[in-house]
Amino acid sequence: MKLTYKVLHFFILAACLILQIAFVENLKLFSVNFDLILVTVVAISLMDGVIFGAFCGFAAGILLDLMTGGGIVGISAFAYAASAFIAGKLIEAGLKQRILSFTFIIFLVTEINLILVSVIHYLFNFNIAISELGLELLVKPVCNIILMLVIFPLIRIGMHREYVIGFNNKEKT
Amino acid sequence: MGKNFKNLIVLGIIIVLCLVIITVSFKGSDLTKGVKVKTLDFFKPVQEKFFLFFHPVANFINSTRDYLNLREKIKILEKENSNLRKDYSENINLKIENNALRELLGVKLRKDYETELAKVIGFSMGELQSEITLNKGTNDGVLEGMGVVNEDGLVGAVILSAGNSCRVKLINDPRSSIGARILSSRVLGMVEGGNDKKIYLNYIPKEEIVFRGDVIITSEYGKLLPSEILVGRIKSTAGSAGSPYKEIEIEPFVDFKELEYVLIIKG
Repeated sequence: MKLTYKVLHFFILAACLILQIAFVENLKLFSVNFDLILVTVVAISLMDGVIFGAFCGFAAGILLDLMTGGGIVGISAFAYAASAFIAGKLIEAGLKQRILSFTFIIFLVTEINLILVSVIHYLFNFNIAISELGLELLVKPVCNIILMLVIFPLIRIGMHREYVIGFNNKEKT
Repeated sequence: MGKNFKNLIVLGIIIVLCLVIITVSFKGSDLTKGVKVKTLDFFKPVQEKFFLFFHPVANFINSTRDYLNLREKIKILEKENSNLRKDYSENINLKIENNALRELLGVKLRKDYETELAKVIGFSMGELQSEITLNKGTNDGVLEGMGVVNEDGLVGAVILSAGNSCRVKLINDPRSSIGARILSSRVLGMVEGGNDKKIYLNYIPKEEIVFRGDVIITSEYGKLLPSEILVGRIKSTAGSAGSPYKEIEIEPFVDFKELEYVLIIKG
């Protein structure tokens, strides 16, 4: 059963990847900066385990890098895999599976992801606009937290009570 | 303890794998390019369908934004219209004179370029890149380096051409660099994208006199990009103390938010 969910979640991630490239990237032109892949990868990491989450992050990142032409391939893969690992470890470290904890995780992981990607690009001689990065550090976590309210319940659909993660704490009898 | 160790090993493998891929990609091997081309081709049909499905939402956001800026836009257009009317009569006389001189000198008129109409099927607007995906590729004769325009002016240049799709680097991409001229003074410079997503005309000496509103066109020194394509007009000029060049910001003629159909200049 767990494997079925993992396969299902992988397909949801694939759909999110296409959606990110075909639509969400378009919204960046209007200063709306959602990261559909990051939120989905974190949700998978929290529900299916750190290893599967990191693998999904790696696979989605590689595909994203390959599909978005000009950049260096592998940077997004590394950033998403690391984000999934950090998110999973935070829960393992004792954070309770509640909506507030998830909000905190999404905020933290988004910030780490942005800084990580910028630092790697800087190391590869790309110029980083500090003002742009600063704005993104403020806007992106908020957008991702909003996105979390949609993605987390979607990933959770059909899962047993033990996977339920804070959105409905009262179980129906 | 065992589970943690297993997790760390998996993470280690992923990190090493990423570092290898990053290094290979950074060196710019043919293998990376080949995989990119194959991936673009593989996902093109699904990407195109998704893009078309969600396009009305982007259009709606665009229309709302346009509606809110309507009053200001009308004022600007009215001013521009009155200026264009003034220029119109003058230009007709110049055209007649120009044609007569061409006939006298035996110089042929510029030929139209061969173009390929393409549809935008994807955007990629990260902090470090501004790219679009088009639904035409090498099967339609699209090659890397070809210029992309729309009815307003220069959009960008093709950077990766797959079988049935291609990726275009927009002129506001931080890695974009295109040879250009100031139309009025014919001074040469480079149109380059900034990290702040603005477009700059670089390498114009401080002593050159430039005016706000001057039109920028492509120069004749581009490999596959034809000359005299409209790029934008000068928005502001400044000069920093240590630099021998002016800092000129350009307002592009093309609205990248409204890109839907473009023309690829094939030659």
